[in-house]
Amino acid sequence: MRGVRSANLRGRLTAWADLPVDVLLNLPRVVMYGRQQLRVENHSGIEECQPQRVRVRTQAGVLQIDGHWLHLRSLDGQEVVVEGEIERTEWTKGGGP
Amino acid sequence: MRPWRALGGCAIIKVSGSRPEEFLNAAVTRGIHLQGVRRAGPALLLAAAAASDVAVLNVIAREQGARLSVLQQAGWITLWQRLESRWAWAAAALVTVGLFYLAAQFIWFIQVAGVSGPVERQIRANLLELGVHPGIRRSAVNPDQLQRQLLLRVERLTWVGVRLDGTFLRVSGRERIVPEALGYGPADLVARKDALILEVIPLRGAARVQVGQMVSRGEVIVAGVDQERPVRADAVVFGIVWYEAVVQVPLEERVYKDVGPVQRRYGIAWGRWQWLWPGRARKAGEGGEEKPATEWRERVIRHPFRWGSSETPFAWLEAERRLVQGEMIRRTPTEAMKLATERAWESVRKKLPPGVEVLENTEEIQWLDGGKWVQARVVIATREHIGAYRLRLDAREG
Repeated sequence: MRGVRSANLRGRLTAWADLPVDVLLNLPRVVMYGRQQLRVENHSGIEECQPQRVRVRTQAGVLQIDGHWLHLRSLDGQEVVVEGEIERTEWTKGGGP
Repeated sequence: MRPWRALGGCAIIKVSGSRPEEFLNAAVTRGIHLQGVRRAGPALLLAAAAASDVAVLNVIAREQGARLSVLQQAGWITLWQRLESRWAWAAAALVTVGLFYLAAQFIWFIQVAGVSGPVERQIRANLLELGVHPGIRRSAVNPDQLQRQLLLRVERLTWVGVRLDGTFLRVSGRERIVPEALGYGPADLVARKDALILEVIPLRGAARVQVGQMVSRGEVIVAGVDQERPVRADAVVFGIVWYEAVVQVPLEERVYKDVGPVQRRYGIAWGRWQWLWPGRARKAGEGGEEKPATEWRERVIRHPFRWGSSETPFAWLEAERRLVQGEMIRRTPTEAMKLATERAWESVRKKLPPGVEVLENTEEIQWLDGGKWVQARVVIATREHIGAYRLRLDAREG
């Protein structure tokens, strides 16, 4: 309960001060380049890695990427780069460290 | 993969297990960077990692209950390991690199540009006389000295540049331009030969020499300027030009004449290295000849392979061996003088331009080496029009 309140407080503070939300709220930053590449910064791990589906854990939930011939071009503690023919992205519940 | 890590080599790994994703998460938690992660099967992952991380990845795989194996290693660090098992290949590569380095220390191609065919042939012949040929060491060539020598030796050159460019020796030249070939435009009238000025009547331009003055080849006789404006100089310019030939003839001379069969050998050459087949030629007397004073004389004709207008260091060789017999020729002083004089005249006549007016001949005989040699010197003085046009640089630039 305290965690939720703290997060709300930080959210309001960020909105009031016009600060970048991904920094203060530890949110993932998702950048998509066309349908070929998707970068997720600030991720929490890989939930699933299949040629038709990649699921990336983040603080905001699990980002599910559906498509064809998907693979992780690069993977480290800060960033994961998914490449392939991306058809759909979807946020699902879950995630966390 | 970070560039500095790639320098250390990379490894393609195969991870098998029920949950290979857990292996991935554990690896990134330990700060390991993975690339090209692909699902190759229901329980199989392929990925690339730095070669130095493979040991840690093995530990992680054991902790996660997965199995890791290295499929392939690449990068500089693994090169030596691979070369160890292929030492013959490595040695051959090293020798090849060494040979390339060695070959780069020599001049293999001589390019001549900017001049007509006859002048190019003259330049090449003079280069050969100066000892510059394909296969010569770069360090043995002094371009400045070559430039000076070529200017002195090739009369039709007004300018020449010699440049070493890798294994190329590039010679670019400019020919002395004759009026017919020049076209129109401001020009100086310059001396085409070393001469003594006999007559100079400027028709246009400013005279720079006087009657009785010696001029050198290329020196301006009449400058193409009129009231500080560039013009095409014109003048009647006659001078005395001397042609000289010196021939020495000994009183005793050994000459050789063909007395037997001709042997032929064929081969190839690379620079100065050459190989001929058959390797050993017969010696005098081996072929059944019964002439003890005979000997074999060999002449090797080189047919270089050409690449465009350049000669390559490769050449096809044709050797011709002749059985010759030496014969001592003894001449009286009168015979020697006559022969030397004849040869000197023949030589000097070849140098004379056709239809030239001869003013004077001089013939000198001198004895050398305590009377063993006779030297004949023939000098012919001619009266010639010695003017040649040379475009003015200021007019060209303007």
